[in-house]
Amino acid sequence: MSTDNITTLRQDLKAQIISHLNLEGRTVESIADDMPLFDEGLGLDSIDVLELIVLMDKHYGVRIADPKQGREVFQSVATMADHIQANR
Amino acid sequence: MRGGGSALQPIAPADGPPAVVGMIPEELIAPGPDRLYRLVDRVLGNVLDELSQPALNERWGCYIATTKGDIEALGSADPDRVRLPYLADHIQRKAGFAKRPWIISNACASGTSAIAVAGAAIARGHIDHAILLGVDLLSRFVLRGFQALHAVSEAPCTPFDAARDGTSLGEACAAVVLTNDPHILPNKLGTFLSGSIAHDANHISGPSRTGEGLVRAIHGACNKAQITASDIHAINAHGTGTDYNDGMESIAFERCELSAVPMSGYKGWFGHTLGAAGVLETILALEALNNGWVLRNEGLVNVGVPGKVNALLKDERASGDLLLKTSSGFGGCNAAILLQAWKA
Amino acid sequence: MEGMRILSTTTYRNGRFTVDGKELASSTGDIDQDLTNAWAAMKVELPRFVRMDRNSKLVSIAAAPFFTAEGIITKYPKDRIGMVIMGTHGSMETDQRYLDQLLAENHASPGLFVYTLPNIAMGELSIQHGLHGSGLCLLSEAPDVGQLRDACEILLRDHDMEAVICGWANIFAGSAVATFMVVTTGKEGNWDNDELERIFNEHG
Repeated sequence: MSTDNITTLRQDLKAQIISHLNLEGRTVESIADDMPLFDEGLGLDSIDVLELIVLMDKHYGVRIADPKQGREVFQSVATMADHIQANR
Repeated sequence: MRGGGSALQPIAPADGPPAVVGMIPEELIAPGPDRLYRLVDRVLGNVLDELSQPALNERWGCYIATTKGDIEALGSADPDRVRLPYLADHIQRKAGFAKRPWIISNACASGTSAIAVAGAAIARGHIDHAILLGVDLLSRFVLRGFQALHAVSEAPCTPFDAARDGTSLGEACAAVVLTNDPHILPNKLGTFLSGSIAHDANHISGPSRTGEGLVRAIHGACNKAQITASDIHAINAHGTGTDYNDGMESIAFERCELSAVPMSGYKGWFGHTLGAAGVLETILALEALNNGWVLRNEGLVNVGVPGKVNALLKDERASGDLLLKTSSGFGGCNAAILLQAWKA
Repeated sequence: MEGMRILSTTTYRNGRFTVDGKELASSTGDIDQDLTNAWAAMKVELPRFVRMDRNSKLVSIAAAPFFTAEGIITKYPKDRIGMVIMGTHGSMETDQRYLDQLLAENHASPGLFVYTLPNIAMGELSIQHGLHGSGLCLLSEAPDVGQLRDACEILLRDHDMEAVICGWANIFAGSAVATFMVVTTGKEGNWDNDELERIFNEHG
């Protein structure tokens, strides 16, 4: 897969996250690829994991059956993008 | 409950009516926009008949515990009915209360919180008697929300079980009368001793892992009644069947030195009835004690919680009459009340 | 004479935000901008704020002045601070948003659903400030000063709270109104039902 496609996917993901989670005031530029999504970093929580699972499924066609698996996949935009590429 | 098993049934497919669980008469629970009011009116009517239709003057309080009230009216032709005060107004007019009813909405701790408040109001002399009613109905609104949180079990919920995977939703309307004059009550359930409410301050939908709020609520109720853990003969827990709630409760019970006390949650029989739960479960737990029993956790096979608890797998003969009832809800709200069975 | 004593009062009237009579923010006519402005006036660092629903934002704003460094409530232990919050519509605004999305997209949003309870705003307040005390979420057609008084008394005397954040907060159909107070017991109570009736029903 080309670097361009990876970049596009990551940028797309950032836009989706901001819109899906109603992150007012957040821009795509302000989210680094490897910024931690939970706790420090973007400050998401366990409810957000559930929303992101739905996002993965509806927008990228990738299902995560168990929310507990979610924490690893959703570490950062980079890990999310990797998971999508591996499973789509 | 002594002789039978769980009344929980799988819910009908997405667009069908909710399954009838067999404890509420068909004519009350049949689908229709006035479903909530049929149920409330019947329960209220029963209570007033039992009391021989007293004049509900300023010395009578009315406390309504509910989380969503008539939520199915949202999006209907009559959305005004969704406002909880609409239900309070209906009840006030129907029963003839002089005082405006209280509506207490503390999530799933509403019922137990309301008992704590009504008991305190009588103890303080604000009122002499109170009719307290808890109600919540099954709704697609709530079911879909709980499903979105991955909080609904595949089969009837099994509180405190190692294999528990979520709760089952139920619906109920339950009412009690509290009074400082036992002569007005034809049937006595028990005595309210004390109540307390405390917050987890952790997460709006996830309880404190260490049970901060519940521990404080239990201690608060015990201190108020001047009793210690060793005085308690039975615990009726919240026990939803979710991983987090039951885990948190077990830790709170252990921290409060209640590990040896016979403990059960009733949701395995009829599910999580939200605002009605605290009232319904208190009534049934006291009734069990009055008959000399502490009932089992229906559906429990293997206890699997981090805190040390005496979660009953079988009904047990009660060793006394003191009951601790606890409830916990979203927003990190926890309520604990202490009651003494009437004829144990 | 021992009685119930009100220490401090904040009001929010569609963007006009006052603390003990002093104006901290004024109305722009845009309900969300007003909430943002009032919060900004408090200069509180709380990333969670922008994620909350309007109800929770309103309650957070109305109580914020009590918790500043010089705030009136900061001297009380966190498990002795109670909350009594009353409103008419509860979480109805968020209920509608949740239902709209459910019907339009067949998607039940967990992030919205968790806010569809009247007491969540009180929960958010307790999390923000680490409050482990007692609390009651009450609903009423209009501010019921008698119920608020009785509720405060129960929390202060039966639930052993030392101070109670007591107030009215309602946000629905373009209107956002809150009146919050810190209530304690002490010598020379100043709780006046009529005066409070007037303050609660006063429009900004």
